[in-house]
Amino acid sequence: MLEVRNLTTEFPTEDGVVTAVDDVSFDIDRGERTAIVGESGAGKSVTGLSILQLVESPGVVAPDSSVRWKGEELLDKTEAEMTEIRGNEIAWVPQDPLSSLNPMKTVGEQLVETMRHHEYELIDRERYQRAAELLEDVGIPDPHDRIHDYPHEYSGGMRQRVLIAMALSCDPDLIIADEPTTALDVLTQSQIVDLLLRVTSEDTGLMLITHGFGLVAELCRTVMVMYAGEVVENSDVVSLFDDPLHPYTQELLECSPHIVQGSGLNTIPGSMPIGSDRPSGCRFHPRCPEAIDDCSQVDPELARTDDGRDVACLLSDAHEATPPRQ
Amino acid sequence: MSDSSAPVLEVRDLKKHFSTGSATTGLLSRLLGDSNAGPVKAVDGVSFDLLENETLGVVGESGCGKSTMGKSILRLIEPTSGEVRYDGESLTELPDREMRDRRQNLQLIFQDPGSSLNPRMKVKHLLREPLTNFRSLSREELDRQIDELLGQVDLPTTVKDRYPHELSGGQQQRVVIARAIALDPEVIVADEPVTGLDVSVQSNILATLADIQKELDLSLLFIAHDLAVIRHISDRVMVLYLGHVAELGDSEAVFSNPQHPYTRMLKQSIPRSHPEQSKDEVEAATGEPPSPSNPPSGCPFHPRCPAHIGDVCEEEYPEAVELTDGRTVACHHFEAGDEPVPEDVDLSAEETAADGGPAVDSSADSGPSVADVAEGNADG
Repeated sequence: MLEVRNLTTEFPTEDGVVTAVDDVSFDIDRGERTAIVGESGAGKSVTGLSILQLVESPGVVAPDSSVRWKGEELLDKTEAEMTEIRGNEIAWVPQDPLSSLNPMKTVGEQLVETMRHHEYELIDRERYQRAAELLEDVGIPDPHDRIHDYPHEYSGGMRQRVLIAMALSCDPDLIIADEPTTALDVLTQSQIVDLLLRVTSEDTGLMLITHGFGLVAELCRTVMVMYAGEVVENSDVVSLFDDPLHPYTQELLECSPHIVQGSGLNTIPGSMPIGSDRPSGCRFHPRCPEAIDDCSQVDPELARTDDGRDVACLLSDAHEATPPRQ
Repeated sequence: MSDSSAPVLEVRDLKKHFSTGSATTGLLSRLLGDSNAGPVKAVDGVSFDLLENETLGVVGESGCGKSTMGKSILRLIEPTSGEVRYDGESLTELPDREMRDRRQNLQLIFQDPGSSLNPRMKVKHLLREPLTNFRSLSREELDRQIDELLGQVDLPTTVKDRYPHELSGGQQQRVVIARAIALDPEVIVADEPVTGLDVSVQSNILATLADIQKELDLSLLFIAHDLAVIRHISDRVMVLYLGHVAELGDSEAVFSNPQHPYTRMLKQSIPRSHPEQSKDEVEAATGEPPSPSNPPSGCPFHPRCPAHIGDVCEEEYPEAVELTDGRTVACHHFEAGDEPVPEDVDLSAEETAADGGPAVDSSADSGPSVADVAEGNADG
């Protein structure tokens, strides 16, 4: 349903051009639940924003990128056409519920406004009715009363539910959720996970942007790992947890306290290169425990393994089969 | 964890209540008609010991009083009542000037490193500040100590001339840690020190904290809401709910076999470590914690408790009792000296341990009822 090809998003800065997303390609099928995992600055959120063409100036999506949605090229659409698609077809659940809601308007007004903006339903009375139903769906108690409350009267978990309700309000085909449970308590987090599982379905896919593997095992079926603007591994979730192919994925999994219980946590030396200052060859090679000489010279492309996973590492078997293009 | 070690910090019945709309305060709340709200009982009778060289994890949902407790212990906010003893000396009664002196040994690491570092001071000045406040050192000695501190927290000495905004979140947190250990403290209260950091940075900071704790023989009170992190770093763990201690015991024991229904619920919410790992379909956590300004009667957890027994839960606050494995649990399901219940036992169908009588049955021939026991505990 969504085909992203060679997506490159650049930010010109005083210190040169920063390529936040560098030649990223992936597909999301109808009803699929995919995670994009990576550390801050890996380009996860910018990938999501690029799909919706919400990258803030001075960021630009490079001209040879392609984002096809249901067969149509989104990058050629006008702003008016994109407005039709945002919300109605692809909805965005932003990261920070407090700053994403208008403190001066009631929750109901904001839900109705979303539907009005996207021309969902004809009259506000029906929209209000739907807003209350949505709030009930996402688990807000007494929705008919709480719909008239302001965001500050809601707890953090409830605000996040409101944002999910807002994303659902126009029946989208794909929800892009940017760190939907950051800063929520564990119990609230598991409630939001249940909610996201419940609202995504055959018809509504999910693209989950997250910095850890915590929610991935719970929520998603496929996962894409990003490092310094590039996709380094693309796999189904079970295989990735059983047998991570890229050294970075391995290292990152071993850093997660809920995965390695009892034994020592792994630490990755150094930090991810940010901005224009990126190493040659494989971007992970300065931190990679398995790096060989070639790693600092050759930038590995994503190569497909026999069981249909993608990995960008010179050391993987997949790479011996398909040598990188020069 | 060393069982024999003496407590460094003894906290007894610590309470911190914040007044809201009483008649003497809060013109605004009176205007808003809020005046019958009681005080917010953020911390309501917490007792525990922090042992030498141990890491005690404190876990709970937001609003359970974790941070307030940490700050009250160091008297960064004054506790309402209760006592905190450090090395046998009561901190709660010390005059401010002496308390300031004790703070050399009792340090705090805050959650957000960005806002706990003065943005207008270079790293070297930030690190020099605690040293010049409490020690009289020569310039060379200061410089040497600053380099040593940077080494301890794995920062290159080149960051000395940087400002906090030029550092990454992880590096900022390392500067905060370096400041905290500058005066060679005995106790550090770390309030969500790795929250909001990337996993790889988080594991780095956790490793640094563990190293420093060993190296400096620190006692660490580690406050966090992430159970996986707490499980990883703690020797013992304390579970707080609405300002009360629900369960306190050996970390592995508590996480592998939680006893209090709330701890069980928390454990269920830890994300799966593998997509194919089965997860017990236990009643999902429902609702949100009640407001601490109007806490439920009896056991504060009873409105959300899946193993709720009956009136006793609504009427009597459960006293903390010690089980055979040394942990304490505050729940009407348990009596002092009980064996821990295996994890697969459903507490709601649980029988009161020793006597074999069903928990809800208080007829005379089924032995002492839970209500009797609870009264007995309250008396004793």
